[in-house]
This record gives sequence, structure tokens and C-alpha cells, in this order.
Amino acid sequence: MTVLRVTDLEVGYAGGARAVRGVSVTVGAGEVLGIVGESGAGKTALALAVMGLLPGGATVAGSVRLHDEELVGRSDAELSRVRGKDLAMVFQEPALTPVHTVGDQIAETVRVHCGVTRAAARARAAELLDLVGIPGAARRARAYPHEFSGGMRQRVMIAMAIANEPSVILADEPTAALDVTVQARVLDVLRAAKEAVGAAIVLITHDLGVIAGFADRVMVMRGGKVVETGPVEQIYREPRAAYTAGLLRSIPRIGGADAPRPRPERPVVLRVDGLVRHHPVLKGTLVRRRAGTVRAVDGIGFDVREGETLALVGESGCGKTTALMEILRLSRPQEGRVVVLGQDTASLNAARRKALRRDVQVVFQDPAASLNPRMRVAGIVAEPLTTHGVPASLIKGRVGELLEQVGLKTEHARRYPHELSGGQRQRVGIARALALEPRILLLDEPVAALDGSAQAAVIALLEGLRERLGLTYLFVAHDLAVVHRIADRVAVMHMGRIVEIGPVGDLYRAPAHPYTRALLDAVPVPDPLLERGRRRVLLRGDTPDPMTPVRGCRFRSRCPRYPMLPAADGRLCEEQDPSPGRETDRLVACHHPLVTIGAE
Amino acid sequence: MAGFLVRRLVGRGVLVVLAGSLAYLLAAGVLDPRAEFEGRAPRPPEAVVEARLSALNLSDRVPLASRYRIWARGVLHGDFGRTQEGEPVNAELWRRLGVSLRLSVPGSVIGSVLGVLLGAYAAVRRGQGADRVITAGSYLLLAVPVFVLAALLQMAAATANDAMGVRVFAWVGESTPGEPGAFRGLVDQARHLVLPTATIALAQFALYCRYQRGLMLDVLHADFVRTARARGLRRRRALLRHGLRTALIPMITYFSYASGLLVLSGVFTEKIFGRHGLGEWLVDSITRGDVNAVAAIECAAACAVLPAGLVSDVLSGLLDPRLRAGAAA
Repeated sequence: MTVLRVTDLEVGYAGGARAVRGVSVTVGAGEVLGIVGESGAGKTALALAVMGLLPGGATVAGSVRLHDEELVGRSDAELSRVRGKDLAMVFQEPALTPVHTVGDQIAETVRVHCGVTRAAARARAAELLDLVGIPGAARRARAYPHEFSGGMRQRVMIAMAIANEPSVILADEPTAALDVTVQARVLDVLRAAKEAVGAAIVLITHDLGVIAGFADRVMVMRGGKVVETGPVEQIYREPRAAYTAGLLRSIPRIGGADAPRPRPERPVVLRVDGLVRHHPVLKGTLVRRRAGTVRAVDGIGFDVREGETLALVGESGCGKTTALMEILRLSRPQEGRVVVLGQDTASLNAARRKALRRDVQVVFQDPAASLNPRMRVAGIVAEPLTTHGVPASLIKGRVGELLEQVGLKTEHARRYPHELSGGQRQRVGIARALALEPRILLLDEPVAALDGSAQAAVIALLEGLRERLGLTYLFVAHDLAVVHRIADRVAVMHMGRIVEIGPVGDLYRAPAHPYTRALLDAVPVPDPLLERGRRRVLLRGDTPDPMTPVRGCRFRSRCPRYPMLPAADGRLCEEQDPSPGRETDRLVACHHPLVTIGAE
Repeated sequence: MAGFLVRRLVGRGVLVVLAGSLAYLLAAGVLDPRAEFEGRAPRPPEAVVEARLSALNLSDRVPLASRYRIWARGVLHGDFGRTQEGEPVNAELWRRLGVSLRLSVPGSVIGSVLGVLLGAYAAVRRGQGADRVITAGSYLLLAVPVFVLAALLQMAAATANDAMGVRVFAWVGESTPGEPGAFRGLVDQARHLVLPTATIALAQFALYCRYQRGLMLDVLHADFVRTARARGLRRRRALLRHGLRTALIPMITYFSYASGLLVLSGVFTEKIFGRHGLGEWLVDSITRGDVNAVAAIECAAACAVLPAGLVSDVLSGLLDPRLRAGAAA
């Protein structure tokens, strides 16, 4: 039975852009329809048009019928009786009103649609919070959104969406803003919520892995049009459109053949020993005093050899970016040592530090925010050169050379950042980092903000540059598939510590730390059969509050292995903080590793 | 939250003491009461002037430090000294404070409430007729100085009075002298308040309207407003309950401190409408060189900031749960 039928839908935005061009699609009762496509494909515009929530000035033509009732052209008052009742939506950003409690906002959703008493609505809110897996639901209903983590807020959004048992839930990139471990649990919650109320789900995402495990049917969109629609197995096994095939090819995958490569006998260019960065948390207004400490980086050590790529991975808040920034500072760390190209950063004076900066450059995550919007591309790329006193006569030629190196054309030099696509902007960021011919590049999530195909292209560029220029990368990322493709070695961070480090092939094939195992398990596999068939170990709870000091192993509260251990073995985890053993190529900080290290 | 408020209060108390002392030192150092006495006709003998000045603790032949000590000791006992005429400053201060508050409180409340509502409305109707009218009106009000506005209102009121043949509006002083009866007296006072209150309200309205419109535009397309609508709230309800509530928070600080300072900023309005409030007194005292009166008024203004800050903290805490958490931490 069809619950939602969209016919020849057209959406135009105020500037004349046509976001959706003649899309027709149906959703059956209780079905999960996945909509995939890169940004600009019109996925979000389609969802907003169905909801009647397009921004002012947008025009809609065509038909959207929910239970055979036309929604296009209805007034706000009429639509608001449908929205949240029979047709609900979960957005990418779990945006709740900051000034009302979570319970009140869920209760409001209930009360807007049916005339229940305040108390009944409140009880229903607690019930819903419990359903989406928020512990202590009745108490947490009185909390405000800022007291919830991103994953918990997204669960609250799901609770609101199912509050009135809708027949269709539109979910627009519901997990794109979340960590991979949290993503897996939020998707489970969405699945459970769907079962609980029997709703159909339209899941919009750019992540083909998420769709593979979740959707019954898939619709591929491009440029506002439908490329193809079909059952999920068919789309992944034998896509009819060349575009779909290309999309599937561009996904970085874990697995495949990787021959164990011996570590090259090259000089170490970056060595970090016992690096510590603690942030004091202050309170009080007149007299500030220290209320606690966030142990952002709490004693990490690794080395990177010339031409090698080391990836730092972990969930948000694990300290990977802080570690990168500490190295980039090139000054004395709070504790520990950072040795760059044989020079201890603690011993540098200002002149030598500036000289060393030429050799260590950085590329940031968000290309839109890290490029000055009022400077042209040529100016941005030339800036490091002028700062380091390169004569003006040489700069113009060098800028052209750099742009060519990163695959941009000379005509791009005159443009402003907003006139470029996301991938092109990140190329500008890379060109700027390369301007001074550095030997080490620190990359902070360089492809996290990019779409599938742009991501693949930028990774290929980074690989090529590494070969050609003999660069060394320190690569911070949370996407394990991307890391698998580009890195030689991987260091897994959890709460300011490195819990496991090793060559990428070994670590992915046989993770020794339960946390590494869980991270790898949480990555959805872009293959419907494999994804649905595999057994996963999910983590319990969120990352613990970084301010509370934990005795023993910091991972204990989330560890899937710890509750299963015999009491005597478990005591070791409670009493002793595991430290990675003596320095070898493969280390693990766990009392009871999943595989024995050093046997091979 | 109580502890947080007490700490803030103590901090501001220190500031008030500093501000009051500086105000006295500045007034005593710069103003010249001797010139005022010597300028009287017939000119009093030197010895008489000196004796008078010494009695009032105004003599510039006494070192500033010891004058300050005498003044500060008096203030600690709740005595701001005497005016040049020998009247106690305290009595005059309280009387005039009452006059100023009766004028400024209704004016600023009406002005800010109207400003917030119309500003928010203009933002919601951005670019449409209502927005243009409100925006043009508030710009016009901002561009017109207060005394011009007051004069225009008086002219309009006079025309209205003539047209109706009855004196509905009155604007000179606080009341008509010799109006009998308690009730009729009250009505008469209210009648006299209309124009000056309107003057203050309009000036305040223009500012609040501009600020609130800008703040509201920021939340108009906020994700949480869209979320509220996706849950089934109508646009108006989503904007009122979720948008306006959030957009009000930054206004609170401005509202509180602006109201605290309003005690003095009504000076033009008081002058024009012949209301003998604090602002008028401040200007007159400065021209006369009346050190004690000037210092007392400055102290009162500094003290007004104290409750204003308190109100700001309490209101912000009530409106914004994130601040409450920050205060508790």
C-alpha cells in the first residue's frame, strides 16, 4: 500500500535555481526508501518540499499525496495539522530550542496534535525518551538540550518524530554530524522506533554504507533528477546507470588486498614523546579558580618516518586535533617532547622556530572557514611566500605552479573562495600548505567536509603529492575507510591516549584493542548482504566526561570485553591504567588484548 | 544561583564606591562654588563667603583630601551634605528621584515592550509593507533629537486640545496647581504624564525596535524553529514560543542597563516639560557649581546600575538555561 506518492515534483529557489526537476517516487507502508546523491542533488529540497517547509521565495509544482491527500498548495495551518502527526522529519542538525527542556519540547509535539493533559503529555515524553534509549528518561526529560551530547540530541529528535506515530518519517542525513560509533547506535534507535510505530522511512544520505544496511529500496538522485530507483541489492550488485556505478566505485572501502609492507628504513622526521596538553576549567567571576582539568592529550608518543603517513583516529573529543595543534605550535609542550626534523621544539628560539615553520604546514578540515573570504585564490596561496620573504618577482610564477600541482587552472587564481566548489577550495588549502615546500604536512580531517567523489579526488591528489614531493603526512581523521586508503600506520586515540598503534593492514585485519574493534565494526559496509549479515560489537554509553579522573583503564566503562572477564582479570582493569608497552612498531594499551602482539 | 548573584552584587558594590568617590573628587576639583557666592549682588564680604563655604565643606582652601574625608564620612552615615542654599541634599534627592522614576519607568517599559514586539513583527514580515513602515518610523524617530520630538508632541497636543475644545493634554509641570480632590488630583497627574512619557517611550521604542528586528532575523531561519514547525507548530507559534524567546536573551542586558541609566538620561524631557527631576537638577547644579548636589546625583546614578545589573542577571538566568548552568559551575 502506498502511503506517500510524489508526482512530477519541481522545486525552484528564489535565485532561479531549479533544485528538484520532475521527481516522482512512491513510498509503501512500513518501507524504508533510501535517497542517495551528492550535495546539490536536490535531496534536501525534495524532503522540505514534501514537508512544506521550503524557505520563503521557493516555488513548488507537482503533487505530493499522503494517504491520497494532496499536500502541495495547502496553507500553513492545514499543513501544521499533518506535520509531526502523520508526517515527521529528522534533520541533519539535531537542533532543539535551547531555552526549553527536552521533555517540554517532546510534550509540546504531543499536545499540539491531540488534546491530552499536560501531565499525560509529560509522561508520554518520558516514555518516548526511554524508547529511544536515553537512560533515566524521567529525570533527563527535565534537562536542557545543551546538557545532551549530539547523539543523544539526535535520539530526542527521533523521539519527537515518532511521538504521534506518523506513517512516514523523513530523515535527512540523520547521522552525518555524528561519530561513527554514535551513528551505528542512532541508526539502531531509528530502526527500533520504526518497528515500534510501523512508520515508513525516507532516509536521505550521501553515505552508501548507511543505506546498504538500512534501506529496502534506493533512489539515486543527481542534479534534481532521479537517476535510477530499485531494490537495494540490485542497485549495489548491478547498477543500471553509469553514475550509480561511479558513485559506488568512489566509496573508500575497508578490506581488499593489502600486502604487509615492511616499514621503510628511513630517518624519523617527527617524534612525539609523552606529549601532554591539559586545559584548566575555570569557574567564578571575580576570582577565577581552577575547578577541574580536561585531559585533552594525556601522554602520547609516536614517530613518523620520512615519506610515511601516520593517521590519528578516534571519536570527536578524543584529543586528536589537540595533539596536531600541539605539534604545530612548535614550542615547549606542557609535558613531554616534540622533535621535528631532529630539532626539539622546546629548545627553539623565535628565528629558528620561524625557519622550521617552512617545513611543517597544515591543511584544515573546513575549507570554507580556513580561507579568507575577502582574498582571491592567488593572494591566499601567495601569503605564506610573502610572509617568508620570497621576492615578489618570483611569487606569481610560483603561485601558478602550485595551482597546477593541485589540479587547479590558472583562471582559478582570480576567483574568490565562495566561487569555488568544496573540493576546489580544499585544493587551494593544500596549495597554500605546499607553497613553502614543506617536508611534513599536518592534515586535520582534510576530506571530512567533502562529498564522495570530491573526497576520492582529494585523497588521490594527496597520494600523488606524497609520491612526487616525498612528503610526510600526519593525518587526523575519524573516517576509518579514508584512513585505510591513505595511511601506512594508524594510531587509535581514546580520551587523550593512544590505545593502539600499528601498520594499517595489521591493525584493520586483527585489531588488538576492543576499542579499535568497535570502531571498525561501527563502519557500515557499502554492501547490503555483507552489512546485514555481519555481527557487530557496539560500544555502550558515550565517551565519559573528560573532567572526571578515572582509576584504572579509561575505556572500562564502555568496554564490551570488561564485563565478560573473570573477576581476577577484571580487577587489573579497575586498578591499573594500561600503558602501551615498550616501543615497537605495534603497540596496544590493554590488559587483555584481543590478539597477542609481538607473536608474529 | 543565589550565591552567584551575591558575588555579582558584591563586585558591583565595589564599583559603586569607586564611581561615587571619583564623581565627588572630580566635582570638587573642577567646580567653583566660590565664584557663585562672589557673583551674588551685593557681593558678600570675603570672610562671610569663606565662612559659608567652610560650613558647607565647599572651601577650595581646604585640601581636597580632607574635604573628601568629611564628605565620605557623611555619606557613610547616609548624609550627602547640604546644597549651596543650605538645604539638606538628601531630602531634595529623594523627592527628585521620585519625580524622575514616575516619568522614566512607564516610558521605558512602554517603549521597550512596544519596540520588542514591533521589531520582532517587522523581522517576521521582512521586506513587506509592515516591515517598511516600522523600519521607516523607527529610523525617523532615531534621527529626531529628543527636544525636537518633545516640541512636536506639544504642538500636536495643543492642536488636539483646540480641536476638541477641552484641555485633554497638559504638559507643564507635574500637576495643575490647586486641583482639588484626591481622585481628580491623580487624574490630573496622569494627564500631565502623557506627553513626557510618550517622548521617552518613542525614543526608547526606536532603539529597541531596531535591535530586536536584527536579533529576530537571526533566529527566523534557525534550525530549531524549523524543527518546531516540522513537529506541527504553526509558523506564528513556532516563532513566538521558540524564536522570540531565544532572540530576547541578548536584549535583556541592554534593557537592564539602559533602564538603570534612564534616571539621568531624561534630562531633556524633564527640562522641556518643567518636571523637576534628577536630570534637570544635575544640569542646574553643575552650572551653579554645587559640588555636594552633583556628587549625590552621581552616586544615585551609580547605585541605579546596581539593581539594573541584578535584574539583568536574574532575567538572563530565567530566560537562558545555559547561563544558569554557567552560574552553577
